[in-house]
Amino acid sequence: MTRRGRLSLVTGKGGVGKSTVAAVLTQRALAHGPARLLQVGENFHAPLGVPHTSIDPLNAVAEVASQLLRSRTLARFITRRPTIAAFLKIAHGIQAFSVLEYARQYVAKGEHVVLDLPATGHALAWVRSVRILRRVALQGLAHDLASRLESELFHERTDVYVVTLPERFVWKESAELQRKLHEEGLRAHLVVNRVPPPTNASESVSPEIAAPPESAAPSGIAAFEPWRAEAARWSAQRALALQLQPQLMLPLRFPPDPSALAAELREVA
Amino acid sequence: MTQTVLLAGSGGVGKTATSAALGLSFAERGLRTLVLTVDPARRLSDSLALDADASVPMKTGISNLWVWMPKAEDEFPRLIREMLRNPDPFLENPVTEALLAAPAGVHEIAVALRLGTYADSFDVLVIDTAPHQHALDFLDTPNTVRQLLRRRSLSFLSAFGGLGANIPFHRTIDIAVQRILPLDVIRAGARFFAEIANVGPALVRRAEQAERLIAAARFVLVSDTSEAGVNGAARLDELLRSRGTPPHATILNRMHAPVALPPHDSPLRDELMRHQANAARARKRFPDALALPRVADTSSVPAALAARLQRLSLSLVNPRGERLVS
Repeated sequence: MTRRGRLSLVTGKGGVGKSTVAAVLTQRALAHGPARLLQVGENFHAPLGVPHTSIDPLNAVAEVASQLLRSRTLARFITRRPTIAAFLKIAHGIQAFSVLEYARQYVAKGEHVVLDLPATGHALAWVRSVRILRRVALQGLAHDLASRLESELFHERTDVYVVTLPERFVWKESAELQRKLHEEGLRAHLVVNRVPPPTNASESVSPEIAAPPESAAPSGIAAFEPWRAEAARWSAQRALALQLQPQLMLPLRFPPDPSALAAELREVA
Repeated sequence: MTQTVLLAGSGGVGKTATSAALGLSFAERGLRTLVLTVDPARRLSDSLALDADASVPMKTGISNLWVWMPKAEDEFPRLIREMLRNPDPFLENPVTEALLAAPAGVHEIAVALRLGTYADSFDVLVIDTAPHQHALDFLDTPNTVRQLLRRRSLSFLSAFGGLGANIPFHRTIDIAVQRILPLDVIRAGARFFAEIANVGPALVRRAEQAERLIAAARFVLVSDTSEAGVNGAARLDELLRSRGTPPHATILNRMHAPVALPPHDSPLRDELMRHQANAARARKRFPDALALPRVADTSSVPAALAARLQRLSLSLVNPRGERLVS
């Protein structure tokens, strides 16, 4: 029997640092065995030096098709017909399904796969695509594949990490996503990213006190941002992060590397 | 003619709030403005403090300003009900049901196909797109749809399940697909495209309308000072230039004015210095960008920023199309 790996799916609202969290999770997983970060499509973020594979969803579709048809030539011939190619380009469900199947194959080899999913709006659709395919296709190769993938995806060795920030607006949206993932039968954990360090008590004054007088800035714009207001924002964010009791909290900056900062400052000077 | 303005940028850089602010500044000029968010996250209502769900264009409390936040699960059935004389068999088709259960792709199509029907009622359409690569997918959507709606494509797709004997290569592909999917699903898929074929020409007209709006669109890149934001905007800048549609302007959000730094032992010191370094780097990458400050109170962002966007909004609707250089 083959050794089973683990699957970690990472999602969250755009800009919360999903890719960074995915890289950190991969790094942690590497301490326990073979692990790999899977990124979908073009990604602008450096994966912090962990082993990673980028997959183009349309290539994943062609790959899965060649496995099902047992012929790369035939799969290529079909997926490259202009009409079929245009259809696949908009068939996001088929793309999602294929990427998940691609990930499953690494998991079956015993790897811990961390899959960097698309942002909130699309993540649920991705997860649902598997069940939908199994329900629509009641038999045949696609059905078998969907059933296998479903038993792997909705499994105790699969975890979903919903990445959020210590800000109420962002967190509200994440909590909603987490609830919906639970409804789908997935174990979804909250990860709060960019949690500021504790500030010195003397720095934490309330924003009312720290805000500039009305005359200094036009309506609502803090043209001058005193660092004390920033300190107050930090303590509020830190308090919220602790209150959410997340599975994982990541600091505002890591790894803390003062020399890199110094180099950056020299570069722009 | 209606001017379309598309905002593009990475996730979390403030695209939605900037779209709302830009929309507000057009409305203040007396231009009838519709702000549309294609991002399924639908945060526009938070930005403009709206309670209603605005799944069709809805007038806001501000004169000349409308918002539209189409709902992913509603827009496609709405389009079908409008177009088909007898929509029920189509909506009950298992393939339609499957598409609607995970509507990410069809949502964008439905929104794109409706765009044209609203355009004539407005002077300006402000479109808040989904984060980076999805933004460009949306631009291509009308074209992809038109390609699929060609009579040849539709007869190809609706012949699956053994009806394509006269179409070159069809049998080979049909047999291959039948190895993967059961015949009833393939036939349901074929019926799906046959129904679409019935309204094909009407849909093609809509796709063409949307294509014209997007072809004449002006782009505004949005970034914040973060490395991810700037890298994303830089990549989008390249992609837009390679499409022959360079951005009309770039906005750098959340730029801090220089601040007095806290004492040396404070952990804030490094962070603020880093922020300033990032801001300087963002400026260096986009020297012509319009810098917007961080707004202290989130709920007042559009109102506070609209005043700063007056020159930009004027240049965006200027028929001579001069790019904004600040």
